[in-house]
Amino acid sequence: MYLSLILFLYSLFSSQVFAHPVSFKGATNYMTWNQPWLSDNWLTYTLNRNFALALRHMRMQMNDSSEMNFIGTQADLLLNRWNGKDYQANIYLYYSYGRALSNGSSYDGQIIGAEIDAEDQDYYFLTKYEFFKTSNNFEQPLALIRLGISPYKAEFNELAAWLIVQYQNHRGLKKNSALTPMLRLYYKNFLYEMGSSFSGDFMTNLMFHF
Amino acid sequence: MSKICFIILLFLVDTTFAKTIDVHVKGMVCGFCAQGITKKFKEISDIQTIDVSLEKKIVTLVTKEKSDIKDDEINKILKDAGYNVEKIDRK
Repeated sequence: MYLSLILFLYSLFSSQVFAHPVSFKGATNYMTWNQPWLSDNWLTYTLNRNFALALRHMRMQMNDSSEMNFIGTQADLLLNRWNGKDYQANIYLYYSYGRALSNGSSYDGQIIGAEIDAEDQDYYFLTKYEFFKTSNNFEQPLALIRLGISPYKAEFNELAAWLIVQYQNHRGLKKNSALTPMLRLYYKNFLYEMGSSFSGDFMTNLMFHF
Repeated sequence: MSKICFIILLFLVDTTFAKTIDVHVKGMVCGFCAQGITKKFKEISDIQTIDVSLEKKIVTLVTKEKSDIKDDEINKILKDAGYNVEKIDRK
């Protein structure tokens, strides 16, 4: 019942950051997502199957073309995981605290987010919502939803490919929203995504873990 | 007497040769995410080879000669990797 509810939460938007905030115990992950108006970098270390710590940097280009940078530490929690015979679904929560830098001034900054994903070897779904707030009362919601399909089933240690469409919404940034089709490729512990929105904005993302 | 010798011989065979263990895993749908399984089993000195099949949802372990790995340890490794064990078959 809960899994069905998760899979139908299309009304939730999620942040531009996706992927597994918590990996396998002892894993170090580097993840970077990049668009002209928004970049996000996470360096995470997973302490156990439910919890990871991260260093995070986020760059946002606002609608007045000014830039805000956030640097902070983050705690990632795997709230629940469903491991089925042919699928996996997850709910994550995370909280980040650090410094926001903008126009030569710095402020305390916080991010709170939730992510839900579900996948089997054919289909992939992710939705996420994130809220960023600074001590000078700047607030920025970030939301994202992804749907993906795999054109073929890759075996373990074979090159895998996914076709994914991402919709993101973040009123207040240089772009309020974007719809981006992309190609995801992964091989062993490297994952790369590249795409271009229908407005011609490039997206390039990379993840690897060790 | 011959029965006792046969039993002793069986015991020796069981402890001498490498073992093949098929671990049926739940939640294993992504090769990128499942890399942690091989990484963790490679840290176990008793393991000779690890083979992962996403199609069959099976992790096949082959132990070194005169070595073994207990079910509890297999369960713990896969749990730490983020998965659940459905069953373990020993050959």
